[in-house]
Amino acid sequence: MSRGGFGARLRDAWNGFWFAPASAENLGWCRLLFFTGIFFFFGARDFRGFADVDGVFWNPVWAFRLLGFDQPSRLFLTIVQSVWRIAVVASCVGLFTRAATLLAFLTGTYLLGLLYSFGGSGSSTGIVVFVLASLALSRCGDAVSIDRWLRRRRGIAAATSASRGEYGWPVRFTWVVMAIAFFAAGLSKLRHSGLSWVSSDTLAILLVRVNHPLVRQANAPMFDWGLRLARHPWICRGFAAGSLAIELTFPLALFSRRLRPWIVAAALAMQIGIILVMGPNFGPFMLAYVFWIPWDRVMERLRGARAKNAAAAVSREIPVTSGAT
Amino acid sequence: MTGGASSKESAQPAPPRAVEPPSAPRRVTVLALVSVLIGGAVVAFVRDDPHGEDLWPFSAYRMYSFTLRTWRVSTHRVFGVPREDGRSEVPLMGRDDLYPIGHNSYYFTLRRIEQMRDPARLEAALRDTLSRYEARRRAGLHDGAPLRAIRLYELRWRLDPRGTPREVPDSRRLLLEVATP
Repeated sequence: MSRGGFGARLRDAWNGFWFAPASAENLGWCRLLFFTGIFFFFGARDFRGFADVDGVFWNPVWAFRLLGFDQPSRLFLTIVQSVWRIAVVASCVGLFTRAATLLAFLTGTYLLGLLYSFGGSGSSTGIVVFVLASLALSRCGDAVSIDRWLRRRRGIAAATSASRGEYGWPVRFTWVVMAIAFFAAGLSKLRHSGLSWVSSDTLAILLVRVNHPLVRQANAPMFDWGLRLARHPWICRGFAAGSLAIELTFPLALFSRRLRPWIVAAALAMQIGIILVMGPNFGPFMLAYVFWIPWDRVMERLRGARAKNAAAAVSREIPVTSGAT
Repeated sequence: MTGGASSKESAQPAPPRAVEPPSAPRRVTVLALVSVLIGGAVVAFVRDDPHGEDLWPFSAYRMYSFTLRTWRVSTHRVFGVPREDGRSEVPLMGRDDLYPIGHNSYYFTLRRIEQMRDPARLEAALRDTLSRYEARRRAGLHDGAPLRAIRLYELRWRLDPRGTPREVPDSRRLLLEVATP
C-alpha cells in the first residue's frame, strides 16, 4: 500500500467519523437539554461566597496559576455569575446562540475552575467544560432555537443539507470525552491496583465506608443497599469486575453501532447504581448522555405518532357525522 | 422554537446532494480541540498526582482506584462545640456547616493544609470555618447551634460488614481546637 493511499484512507476515516452527515435538529435538541441540565445543577448556585473564604483554602487550578488569577472579589463574582446565568438560559433557548454559548463556556469554565480551586476532588465537572467548548465552536443554534425562528420570520433560508457535516462533530466530540473518562477510570484502577481491585474486598469495604456518616467522602447514598451487598463478597467482586469491564470497553461504543446502545446503557446503569448505593454526585457528568440519543429520530417518531393519532381521530369522527346526516 | 424542516419541506424532499465536508477552518478547529483533549488526558494520566490534585479539567479519574485491604479506617473530621453545652460536639459535615465549600472539597483541602505541616495555616483554616459558620448563622442563613469553638479530630474505626453504621468511632484524638475570640 502506498503512503499516499494510507494517508488518504486515514483522512477519509477521520472525516467520516467527525463530519458524517447529521441533522441540525439533533444537535439543537442536545444543546437545549444539556443547558437545561446545566441550569438545573448550577443555575441557583451562588458562587459569591468564595470571595469571603480565607486565602488559606485557595489552591488555584493550573490554568488560573498560569493566567495569574487571584482569589476573586465579591463584585467580580457577582458580574461573572450573572453573565453565566444569562448565557446558560440564552444558550438553552437558542437566543444569540453563538455569543451565548461562547460566554457560557468562558464564564462556566471560570466558575467551575473556581469550585476546583477550593478543593477539587471530583472529576464530574471536567466533562462539562469540554462540552461547553464544543457547543461554543459549533452551529448548535441552527435548529430548535429562537435564532432559527427569527431567521425564518425574516425569510432567511435554513441551513442546506450540504452543511450537515457541521452538526455531527460536537456530538461525536462529547462521545470521545466520555470514552476517555471511562477508559481512564478503568486504566487508573489497573494501574494503581491491578486485578486485585476486583479480587480483593475493595468494593465491599467502600460500600460499608460510604454508609458511615463520618467516614464517607461524598454525599450520603440514597439507599443502604450497599451494606447488604457488602455481606456477599462474591457479589461485590462480580460488580467490581463488571464495572471495570464497562469502563475499559466503553471506547468500543465510538466505533460499533451494534455495541453502542448496550455499552452506553450499561455505563448509565453503572453510574446510577453508584449514585444509589455510594452517593457521589455524577449529575453534571451524566448530562453528556443526552448526546447519545438521536433526538431527530425520536422527534420524528413522536411527530409521526401524533399525526397518526390525529388521523385516527378524524376517521373515528367521520362515521358519526355521516350517520347523523 | 422550531425543529428541523417544516412539514411542507418534508412533504417535498429535496433531491439528494453530496454532503460537503466543513470548511478548512472548521476542520482545523475540530482537530485542535481533539488534540487538546487527548493531549491533556495523556498528560493527566502520566502525571497522576498521588495527592489527588488533577490537572482540571483533565483528570486521571483515580476515584475509587486504590485497593483497600483493611476494614480499619482513619478520618479527620471537624466538630463544633455548642455555646450552650460545652460537653457535646456536633460534626460539621452538612452543606450549610461548611458553605460555600462542599463537604468533600472541604475535607480534601483540609487534608492538603494538614500535609503542609504548618500549624498557623491549619489554625487559620479552622478559624475561618468557625467565623463563616457563625456569620451565616447570625445572618439567619442556617439554623445550626451557636458554636463557641471547633475541634479537629482524627477518628479511627474498625468497620464491620455485618454491623450497622455508627457515629461513634473506636478511638479519637484531638488535633487542634480553635475558639471564638
